[in-house]
Amino acid sequence: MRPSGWQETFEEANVSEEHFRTLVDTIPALVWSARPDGSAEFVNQRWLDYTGLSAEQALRWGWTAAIHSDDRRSLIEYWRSILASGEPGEFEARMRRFDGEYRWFLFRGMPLRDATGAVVKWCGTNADIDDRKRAEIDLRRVLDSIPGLVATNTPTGETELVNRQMAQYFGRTVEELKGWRTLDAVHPDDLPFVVSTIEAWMRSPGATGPFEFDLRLRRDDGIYRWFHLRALPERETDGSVVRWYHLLTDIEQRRQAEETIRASELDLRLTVNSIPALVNILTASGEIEFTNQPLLDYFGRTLVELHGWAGSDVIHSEDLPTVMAAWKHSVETGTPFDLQHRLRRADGLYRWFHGRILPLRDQDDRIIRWYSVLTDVDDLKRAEEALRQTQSRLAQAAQIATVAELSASIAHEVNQPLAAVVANAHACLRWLSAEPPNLAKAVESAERIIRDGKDAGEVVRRIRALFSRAEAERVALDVNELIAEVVHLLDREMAKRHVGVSMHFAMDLPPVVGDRVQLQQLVLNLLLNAIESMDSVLDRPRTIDIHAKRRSGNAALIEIRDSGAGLRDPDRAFEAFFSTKENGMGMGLAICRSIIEEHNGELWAASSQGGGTTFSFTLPLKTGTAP
Amino acid sequence: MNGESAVVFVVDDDSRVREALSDLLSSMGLRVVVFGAAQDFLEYEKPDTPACLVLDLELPDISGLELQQELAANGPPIVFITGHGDVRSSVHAMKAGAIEFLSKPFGDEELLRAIEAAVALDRAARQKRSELVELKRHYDLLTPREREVLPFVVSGFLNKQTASGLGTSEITIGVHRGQIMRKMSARSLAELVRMADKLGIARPE
Repeated sequence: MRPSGWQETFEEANVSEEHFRTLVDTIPALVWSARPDGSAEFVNQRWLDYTGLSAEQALRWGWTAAIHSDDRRSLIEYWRSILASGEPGEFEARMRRFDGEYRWFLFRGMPLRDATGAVVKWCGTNADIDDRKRAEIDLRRVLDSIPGLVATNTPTGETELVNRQMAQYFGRTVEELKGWRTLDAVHPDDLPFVVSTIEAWMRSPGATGPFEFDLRLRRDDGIYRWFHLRALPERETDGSVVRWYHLLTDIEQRRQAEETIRASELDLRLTVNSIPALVNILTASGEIEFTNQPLLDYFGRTLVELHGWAGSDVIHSEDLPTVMAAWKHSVETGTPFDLQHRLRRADGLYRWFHGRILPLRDQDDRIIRWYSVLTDVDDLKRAEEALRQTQSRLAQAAQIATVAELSASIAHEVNQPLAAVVANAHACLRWLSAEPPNLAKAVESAERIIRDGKDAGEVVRRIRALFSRAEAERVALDVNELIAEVVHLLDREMAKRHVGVSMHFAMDLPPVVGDRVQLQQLVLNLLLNAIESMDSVLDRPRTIDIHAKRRSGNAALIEIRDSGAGLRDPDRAFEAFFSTKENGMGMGLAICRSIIEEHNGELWAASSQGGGTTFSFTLPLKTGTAP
Repeated sequence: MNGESAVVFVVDDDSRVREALSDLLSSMGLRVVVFGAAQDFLEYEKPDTPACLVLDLELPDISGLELQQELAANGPPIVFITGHGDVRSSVHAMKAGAIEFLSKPFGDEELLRAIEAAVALDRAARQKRSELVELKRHYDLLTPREREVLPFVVSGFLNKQTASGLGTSEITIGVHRGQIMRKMSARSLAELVRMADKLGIARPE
């Protein structure tokens, strides 16, 4: 092989051809020269050694056989393009080694021109770039497999490197994207924010991030999608940023989901705000997390003002200790809170509320939140109170009516001991004024005055108790004694109407808790009812049997059985204005029921076997009374 | 009080009242017997002396008014006492012949006046009753024929008129008349007429 044209050159350089050949073959690179038409004129020994071809095989267009078939066509095309332009060029392509393995090479070609500028020869080298190229391919593979758009930017914002996803998204080639300012694709609405944020990052070179925000980017087809941008700066040792690495994650779906949630939250909020109750969501420790608008309106505060608010300043001072104790109990035990109390409205007025707070638990049964609903029960409460007062007044009226009915008996009750007192007093005087005075007899008379006077006092006390309408009080009461007292009051009435009464009391009956006057009223009403029910009984004894005993469930059971006509409809007996009596208002038994309900007892009526009616009621025993 | 000593019966179911009245009446020097129930009083063997009954209107077994009806004319005069003092009962009681109607509590003078009135009434009634018994005893001594003659005599008929009326002789009527005057212990015709009136002897037409 004898490269023509070189000789002159080397001669001019005063270098011998032999020396030149040695030199070219020694260079640790593949060196070649070609004619202006592109055919190989010379390849050095290293080139031949690498490819394992002979000079005859390689020269002219033979070298193309060593090029990887995938690269061959594009390499030749490129080669022709620079031959035509006469400009230097370079191209990467794989070249087969003597052992058949392909390695990446950088082909570089440079034209050699004569004095007129015409190309007389092309000289070039093939540099082994296989390691770098493989690393680059690996990197590309990594980049392209990242589920996001990746780009590196210069500090001035020009794109350096992008992955395939990025190219695909924007519909440009990797080459086209280089040097492109991505800001062009940012949604106009987001642009001011994006620019100002990025500028802020630039202005503070010491900032460590995180550098991230959400923005919309225009896709190739013109549609904007939401992305989450994360940026990481690469810095010089002096801290100045040399490169930005960007990762853009498509969050369109998440955004849409969030949007849906936001919409449903808004919907929920509207719903919660239109609930006619005060709704509150509390953290596990009881701090306010959310309140509905009615609550804010009621207290006249903003959610911000309620932050860290315990609410104790709006709870009525009388209710506060109970509420606090109940809430403390709920928090400690995780049980629901259920209490009625008063809350101060913005205008200072207190209204009654029914507060219910339920815990929300996670899978591990830990309380994560409390849901609180406060229902305004003020009107209800007032109605209840009015009803209670009406009932109370009605009971009182009934009491007075009963007393009026009993007035003859009461007068007798009082007059009886009084008559004895007066008679004894006269006797006493007569014994004293006798000649001689009979002092022993006078003393006896005087002693009886004292005894009967006390009796009269006792009668008056009992009747006062019947009349009195003190606030209901709860005291321990002996049921047997209570019944016996009422029966005693009715002794005359029963004698007059030929009614026999027998009492069967369990002597070990523990006390009950209740209001003496109300319970006397109850027993009195039931007994009067029993007595009246027997008015028409002529063919058999008129009897009332009273039983008082202990019933399971820690209650006293009292039964009043008469031998009257019996009830046709025992269930209706307790309805107000239901009366089987011609003159009855039908309030007596209704009042009995309201009294017993107030005492947490039960009251019922049943027809007795063998005629008559049995009225039964229970009263809870005083707590702490062991069974 | 004069004459036979009177006894006061008290019926009241209230022991306090019984004790007090017993004491009071004793202090007045009266004999008192007390009962807790009407039945006890009815069964009691009563002495043959002037008496009065102090009766409680409201009794457990039978009421005072019922007892009053039961006793009727045979019982002693009644002084009612009541703890009720209701008007209707008192009207009934008074109409049925009660002496007095006292509302508890009452004063000793009121009671004493009522008892004295009742006893006086009983004494008079007893007096009246004992005279009639005496007259009847005399009347029982008369023969049937003399009982036939008596109405004519006390009606002012002459012996002759009576004899023709009865179909006998004037002499026989004269004998009967003498026997009647003697057996009846009548000192004059006028006295015999009063006796016949008390005995309720009917005059001939």
